[in-house]
Amino acid sequence: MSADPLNRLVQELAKLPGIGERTAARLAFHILRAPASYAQQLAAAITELKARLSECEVCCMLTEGQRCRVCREPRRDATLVMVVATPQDVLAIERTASYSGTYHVLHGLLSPLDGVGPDALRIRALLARCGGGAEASPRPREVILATSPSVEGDATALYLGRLLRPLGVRTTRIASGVPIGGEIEFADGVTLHRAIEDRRELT
Amino acid sequence: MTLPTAVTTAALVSRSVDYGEADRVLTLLTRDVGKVAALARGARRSRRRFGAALDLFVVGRAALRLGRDGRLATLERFDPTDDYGTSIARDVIKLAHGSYLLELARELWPADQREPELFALVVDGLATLASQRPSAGLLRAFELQVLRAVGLVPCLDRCVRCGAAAGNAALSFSVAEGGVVCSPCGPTGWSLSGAAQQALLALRDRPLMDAAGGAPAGVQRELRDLMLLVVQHHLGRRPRALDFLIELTEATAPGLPPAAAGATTPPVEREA
Ligand SMILES: [Zn+2]
Ligand SMILES: [Zn+2]
Repeated sequence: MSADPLNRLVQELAKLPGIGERTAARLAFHILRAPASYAQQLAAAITELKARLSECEVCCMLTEGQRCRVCREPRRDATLVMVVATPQDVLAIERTASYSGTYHVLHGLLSPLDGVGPDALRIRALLARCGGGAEASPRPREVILATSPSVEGDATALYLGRLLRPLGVRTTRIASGVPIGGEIEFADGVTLHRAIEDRRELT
Repeated sequence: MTLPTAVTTAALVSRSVDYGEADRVLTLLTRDVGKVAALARGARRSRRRFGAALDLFVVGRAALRLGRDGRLATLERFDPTDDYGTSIARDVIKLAHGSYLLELARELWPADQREPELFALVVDGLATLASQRPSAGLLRAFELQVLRAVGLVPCLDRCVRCGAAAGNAALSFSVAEGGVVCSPCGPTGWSLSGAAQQALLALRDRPLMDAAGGAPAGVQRELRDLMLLVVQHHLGRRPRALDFLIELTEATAPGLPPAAAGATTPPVEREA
């Protein structure tokens, strides 16, 4: 750790995703020039974030207290569980106001290149929830795997599907493919290939 | 290397890091301009520009504007030509194997070097993985052939100390010296069975498509442990994708049965 306070802040900021040394230095100078009250508010907000937020005991969403807002809401269908990679994904789906079930947040995707294996994700909590091993919530009747349609998102969904099937839980995967309003002609080859692979019966 | 500023080349993504709200920084392996760090503007926010093409295991044609003086290159376009990702994503063991191939090639790729043969080897490895069951033979052959492409392949048929042809007599293997050591000069480092030495020689020279059977069950573990040491020696660390694979196949975690790792693959072929 550097004794020079400016240098120390630059080093810490540069650890943030997408922030290089130059951007970190610019941010540090901005904080230095701002009133002292701003620096105090920023520091307090960061400290409070870590002190007050923890993971929901049911779904692993970030929350204050033991249970998140969705899990506390009695009108939500707790037997329908949507599995997502990040808390940001929950916020995005909540904004649509079209989903009435609950969530399970993995906090990442299986990623061999980043060294993220099953142990680093909240998979055990999901299995406990689905196997009836968690007292805090009812046993789900359906688990919707809503990881992004990337190689790592697909592999994570398939991996979870194989773990969940023996537990007798219905497991579904969100659809992906040609965007609504898009045209087949302009879709890229990979999207088309995967959309054709994932085709379904017209009922 | 002196290069024009704008170039179109066969390429694939070997790493992708989110950058700011909308962009990604990619590490591209390319046929014509080596390993390139490139900014893909808007790749996070909108799929319109690059579609799904910037996913892992997709080979395509990249239009690049190269940076000068160590600046990032910019990816202008990426048109996919071969998608191996759809097949690889179907099996988490294949994902681990494919990631390992990318990690090895990316980390061993010599800086600022055009490496068309190494690029072809990576594409060949991914195509093989996508079309077959995952196999230890493919991983071992790929390790040896990547090391050969970058001039680091261990010497397997002659003693690294005296140069004598390595016969059937007891051999050992020195990672630091980069190859086998005959019994009069040794023993040193690891003892190496004759069967393992023969398998390594065969895997080094076999087309990747035919490598699957090249690591017989009896020496599979010996080959894996030895090659892990060699790879680790050159990388300066343990490969992440291999640790992932070991976590999956040996699933020490309670509640995470190894059966889930690869229900489509028989146990022996799930070996790293
Ligand atoms: Zn919750
Ligand atoms: Zn010798």
